[in-house]
Amino acid sequence: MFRKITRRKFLKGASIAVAGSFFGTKLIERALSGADALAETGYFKEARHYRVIDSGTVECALCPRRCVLKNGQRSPCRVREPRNGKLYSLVYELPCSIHVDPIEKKPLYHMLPASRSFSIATAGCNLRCKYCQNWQISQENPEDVVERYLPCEEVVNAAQRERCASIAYTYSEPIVFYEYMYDTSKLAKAKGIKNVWVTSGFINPEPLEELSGVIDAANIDLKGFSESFMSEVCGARLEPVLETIKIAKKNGIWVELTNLLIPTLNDDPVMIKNMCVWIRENMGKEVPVHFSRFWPMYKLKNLPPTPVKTLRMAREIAQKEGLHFAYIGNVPQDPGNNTYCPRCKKTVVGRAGYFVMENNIASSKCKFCGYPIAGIWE
Amino acid sequence: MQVLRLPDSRNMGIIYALFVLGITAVSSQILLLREFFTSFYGNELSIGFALSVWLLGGSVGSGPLARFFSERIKEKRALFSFLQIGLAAFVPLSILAARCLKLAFHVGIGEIPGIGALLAAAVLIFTPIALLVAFLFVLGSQMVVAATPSKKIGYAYTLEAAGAALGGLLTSFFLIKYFTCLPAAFLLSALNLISAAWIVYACKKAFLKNALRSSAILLTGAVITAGLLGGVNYLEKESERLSWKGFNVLDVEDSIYGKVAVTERAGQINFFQNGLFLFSSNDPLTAEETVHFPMVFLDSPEDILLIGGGGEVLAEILKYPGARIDYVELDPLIITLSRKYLKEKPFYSLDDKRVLIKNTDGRFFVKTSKTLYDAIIINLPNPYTAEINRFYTKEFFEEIKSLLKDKGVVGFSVSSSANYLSREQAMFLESLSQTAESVFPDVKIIPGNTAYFLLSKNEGLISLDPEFIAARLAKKGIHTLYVRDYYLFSLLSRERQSYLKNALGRVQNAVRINFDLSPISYFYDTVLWSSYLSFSLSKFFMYFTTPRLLLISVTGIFALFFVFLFLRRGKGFVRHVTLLALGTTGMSEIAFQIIIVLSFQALYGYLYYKIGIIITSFMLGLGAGGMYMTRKLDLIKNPYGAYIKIQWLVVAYPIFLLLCIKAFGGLRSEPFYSIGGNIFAFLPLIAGFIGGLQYPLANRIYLGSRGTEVSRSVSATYSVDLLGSFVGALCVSALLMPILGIPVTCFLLVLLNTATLILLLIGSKQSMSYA
Repeated sequence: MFRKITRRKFLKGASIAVAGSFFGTKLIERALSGADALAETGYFKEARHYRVIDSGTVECALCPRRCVLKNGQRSPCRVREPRNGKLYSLVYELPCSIHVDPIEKKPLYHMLPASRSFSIATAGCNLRCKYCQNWQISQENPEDVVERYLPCEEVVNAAQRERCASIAYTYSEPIVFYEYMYDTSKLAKAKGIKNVWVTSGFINPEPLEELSGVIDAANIDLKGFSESFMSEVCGARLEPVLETIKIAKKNGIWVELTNLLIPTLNDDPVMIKNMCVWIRENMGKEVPVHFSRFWPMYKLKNLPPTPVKTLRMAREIAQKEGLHFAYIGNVPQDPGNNTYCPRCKKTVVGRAGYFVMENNIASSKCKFCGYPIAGIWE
Repeated sequence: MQVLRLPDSRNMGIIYALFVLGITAVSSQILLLREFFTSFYGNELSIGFALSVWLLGGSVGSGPLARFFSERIKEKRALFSFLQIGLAAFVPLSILAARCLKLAFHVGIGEIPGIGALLAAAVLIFTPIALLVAFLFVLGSQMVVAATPSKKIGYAYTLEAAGAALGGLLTSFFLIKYFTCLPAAFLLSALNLISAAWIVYACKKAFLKNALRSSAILLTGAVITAGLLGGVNYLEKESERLSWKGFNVLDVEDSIYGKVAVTERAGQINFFQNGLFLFSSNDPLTAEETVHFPMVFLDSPEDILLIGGGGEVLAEILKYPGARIDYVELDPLIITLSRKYLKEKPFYSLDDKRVLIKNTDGRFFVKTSKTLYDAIIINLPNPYTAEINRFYTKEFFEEIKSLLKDKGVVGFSVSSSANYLSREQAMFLESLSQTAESVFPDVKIIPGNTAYFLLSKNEGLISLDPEFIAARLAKKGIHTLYVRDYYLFSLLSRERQSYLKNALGRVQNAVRINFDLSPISYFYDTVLWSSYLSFSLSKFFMYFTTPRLLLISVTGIFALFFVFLFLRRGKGFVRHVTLLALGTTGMSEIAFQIIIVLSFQALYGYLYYKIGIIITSFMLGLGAGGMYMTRKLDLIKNPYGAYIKIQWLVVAYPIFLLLCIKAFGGLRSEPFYSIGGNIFAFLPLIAGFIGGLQYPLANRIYLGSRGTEVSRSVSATYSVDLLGSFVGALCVSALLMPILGIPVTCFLLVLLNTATLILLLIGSKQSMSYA
């Protein structure tokens, strides 16, 4: 009986058996995982910014990528998907990171110093930075991370319970959980809690205009001042980010900028100088700029940390270009941690790490000479 | 030796050629693996990829490729000489390719490449040499002058194995010590060029002979001149500089343990080992965390053991008055280069009287030390290799527990993630945590991008209350920049601590304890590492974290294969099972090597020279087995019967190996411990000998069954042997050993070889017709 089996038949049967058992278990696994259970309960939120092209295709209008997606096709930011001709967010009210941080950690130095910020993030990101600190969520699909169901009103309640002065949308990229951020911000604003947006700024003007109505402060990551750096290292473009920074300022959001300096990639003095000139000309001298230290992370795990000398050099360039508030991040006891009054040069806010050691600001002015210090101080 | 009985100049040439081939194969493999690892920031998995590419390339080179060409080209000597010139060119070229390819692939300095770039690079760097070496072996074995075809193959095999044994020794103990990579590669080229000139001597076509000879001689001259005039060194320097673009390269030196590079940018000195970032000057954060987290809980620390150092760690320890340090560092080159480039006092206290430097393996030191310590600080990378995993196992923790004074603290750290712990990350941390908890009553973890583990014999000694830690440091009068009030409050917030606890709690039933012989944490780290390459790859690995699934898959696949062969037992059955046995032996032999090296490192420590002996003794065994069998070939009446007897040995060897590991593992007292270690180093000799016996015999059966030509037989047998090794290298090091552990892996090998044995026995009836 055995003899009748041909080689082809045998191979066919065997491969079906192997493949079947592999995918069979995969299917069972998937059915048991939370992701598909979620899909069945229909816990999706329709996106706020998109355009219908035809019954099976939509164009996402949230970020400058303007992805055209077919029904069932996942967006490159991993958290959006059209179904039946409508675009949905898959991470609405489903954060995977929830922490309470000092506001200085965002970093925001000119906003309610020493206050606590209730910080949330979901999976996904519209960028591909090779040095992402939160790559385990930003570069992962929502169904593959551990999420928690936390409705907007619960976020606000928890923030109040934890005595937080603000809610920060942070860690991964809040642009991709826009609807969750927007709805939560609206509720928080009504209850007198500030909203903080920690972002790469890679967003389209229309959603940004809408968001401006509810966001109080933003730390926008000006990752590097060249198109080639932005595209090669971050998978984005510079020009839309600059546009975001200008619109945020125009709409009255308190903006601080972060520039993370990576050895050999974006630490060229000329690049830093050009960036500072652009900031002065478009944002004025009052916008705080944080030069922060790169730490070997994710794909750049084998690049050494930024030399302190480079950070100091960058701060000096910024000061030379007339920026009043240039900071160095993550080097405690460096003078670059403190805020100095642009007029009397005295320390108005003294910091060590994320800790505020002294605060000499009263009624938004320097206690010593009365010079108004830009920011949100009360 | 019988082979030398023919003092024929033609035979001398081929003897030299095959010997050089063995040397080139092993030496270029060692050099290239080092360069590949350095350029593409690997872990053992990427070495596994590279080895697999190598073995697969060899299989293709000796199989289809060699068969195609050697049947069509009559001038074997000319072809051999030509290919050898090619090999001479490709050895240095491949090393340059390893350094420059990442630029071509747009992989930045310090950037971990994607899986595509990694595989493409492995193929481009390793395939040419692997193909050439295997092809040359097949050609060469036809050119050996011997009485019978199977003897030709037997001698060729023996010669290559002997060359490989010498090549291993030569590279590990001589080339790497006295030369940098590229000059060493050029030396290998010169050896091959001389051989190419020699071998073509007896070529019948004058034109070919002259052309090849003169080009080989010219090239040899060029290589020697370039070496003498410093051209090779120039090339070496320039290519190194290119691979560190943007940094000022202060020094790149090779030690037997690896390539250490020192670079500078903006006044900061950075140290790298095999391309992986080790530490940099001006990094008080890492030094403070490494030292003060464990030491702050000690009342008056006196004896400190530091395993693996770097940067300002020593200076931080010396802030405690009365502290003295035993500093264990495996690679003396790191100390030499630190002395040379990290001079700024008081940060780098290598020459402080209170510091005693021990250049040895940490595991070896711990096993032999009699001193008791107040604090033991393990400052090593993640367990990204099975070798480093030895510092995170239950056995190791037991060893250091016995060296810890009452109220002492152990500290070690691994990479983690501050804001979100993925399942992979949590499993990795939880497996380490459970392993530590199985030995120490109190284990605490400090959250953050680096997870610091604190272990103590006394409950209640360690507290993660930031106020408590800050107060203790202040009371001791120790000045720190980071590890103090303002930093600790955010790092050790109640909320961050409970997040870590909950995340680990979720996977607590899914992980296992890390043992020496079952290095599961190394597997979890591999999963983590593979997620840097792609999440799909890490998900694929995660699929196997349930050992039962892996066990079922592996046995299932092999069972299907054997059933298939059984069902097809037709005309060529004897030939097929003979080849199959060769393949399963090839697979087993590589598994034996991996198992012996790892067990030796765990039981006795990573003693480089002993590891060298282990690898060489395997090759020697292979050569000796091959030689013995080749000489006996004509005397054997029933080769197939003898082949079955050898298969019995292959079946028995894993049991023998496991018994040895278990027996020697129990020996703790001298002199049995040292004697055991020395015997252990020669275990591979037996494994090699068995493998060596099998190969020539397989050829005799193969030749006898068909009356085939030498080329056909050697091509089939050699490529199957390499294919088996390929499967073994990939499965055993990446999956079987870490997930199932060495005992189960040994058991699987017994099972696999028994299945082969049964098929061989089934074939013995048919074999009579061939005899």
